[in-house]
Amino acid sequence: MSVLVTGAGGGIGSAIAAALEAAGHEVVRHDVRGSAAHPVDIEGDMTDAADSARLVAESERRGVDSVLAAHGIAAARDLAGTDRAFLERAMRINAVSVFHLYDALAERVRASGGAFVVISSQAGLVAEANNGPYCASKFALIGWARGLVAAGGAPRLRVLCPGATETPLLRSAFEGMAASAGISYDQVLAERSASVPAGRLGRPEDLGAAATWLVEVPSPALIVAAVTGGEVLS
Amino acid sequence: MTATSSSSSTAPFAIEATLGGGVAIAVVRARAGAAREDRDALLTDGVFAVLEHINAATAEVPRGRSILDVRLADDLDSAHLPGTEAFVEAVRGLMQAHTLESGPEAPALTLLVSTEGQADARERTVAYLTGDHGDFSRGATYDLREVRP
Repeated sequence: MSVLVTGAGGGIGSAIAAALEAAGHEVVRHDVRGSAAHPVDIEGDMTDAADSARLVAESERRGVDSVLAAHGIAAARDLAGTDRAFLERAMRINAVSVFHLYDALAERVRASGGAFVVISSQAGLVAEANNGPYCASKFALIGWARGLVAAGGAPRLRVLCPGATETPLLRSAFEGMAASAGISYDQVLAERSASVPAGRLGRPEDLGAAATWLVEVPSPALIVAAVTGGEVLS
Repeated sequence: MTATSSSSSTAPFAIEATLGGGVAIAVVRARAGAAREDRDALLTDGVFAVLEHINAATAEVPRGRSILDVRLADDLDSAHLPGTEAFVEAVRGLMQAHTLESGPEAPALTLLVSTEGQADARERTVAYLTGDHGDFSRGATYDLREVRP
């Protein structure tokens, strides 16, 4: 299978891309920008129409038949302090840009028997204090996927909901939550780790394995996978 | 109760807020069509409008009740489902986050989802939520729809 992975320059996206390749899939990596550690095939802003059109054209040229949308931003802030620009940015990047990518590639994915996988979060299953804008954007992905399946005609849809995973994005989110709550980053980290039944935070490799399974598993029409170490159960 | 705000009739969503007796109710109607622009506006402008209501109600009815009353069309076309369900879930995320952030002095915030034709079920639910013990349902979502995606 040829799989487009967005957010492939990030901690989770790069691990997923590596896991898919290890499983024998061809991977097309996309992100805003690559790095020496995590180079990408296509650079571009998912909220920019011209960049998105270029991404779609390149995906078609390379015969992409599955999509794994792993791009996203942290958006941790208390709701009382959330202004329009902050909330809108979270919604546009984490949710609306995924909808646009689906609009452009869903028919191709469906026709080739592929899967369209989106990365939500355990914060898309159960909300978290001082993380409301992020929660709203990740909740939206799950509702959207359920709506697509109910509407009919969708390709295989999978929503991967990671728990707290050791990535730079997590650190950014924890720092925002700590600032809003008036406590330290270490306190947030310690409290969160203690609440995970698995006894540890998630690792990118955990998500690589889950994503590979989600791309390959042929049924059912929709899977919402909570890969959270038991912290949030679905 | 007195109407305190509403949005344009041409917007993909409309919010009519009422306030009185320690109760704030926002009737939210999602009107997004299948058009991409409507869906996107619902998920950005619409979600922010709900957040504004949540924050306003928190100040206006301390220790009261705040209900997000999301009403969907009875004959919602399948093309509307993805955007509408995304909106409902985004609102649920905000509602849960607010509940976790706020203490007992904040109004008990709940989300009620129904179709327009479910007036009786809706009224009974609002009566419970605004009654003597309804505040212990703070943070809950009561989705009254007979058929849910």
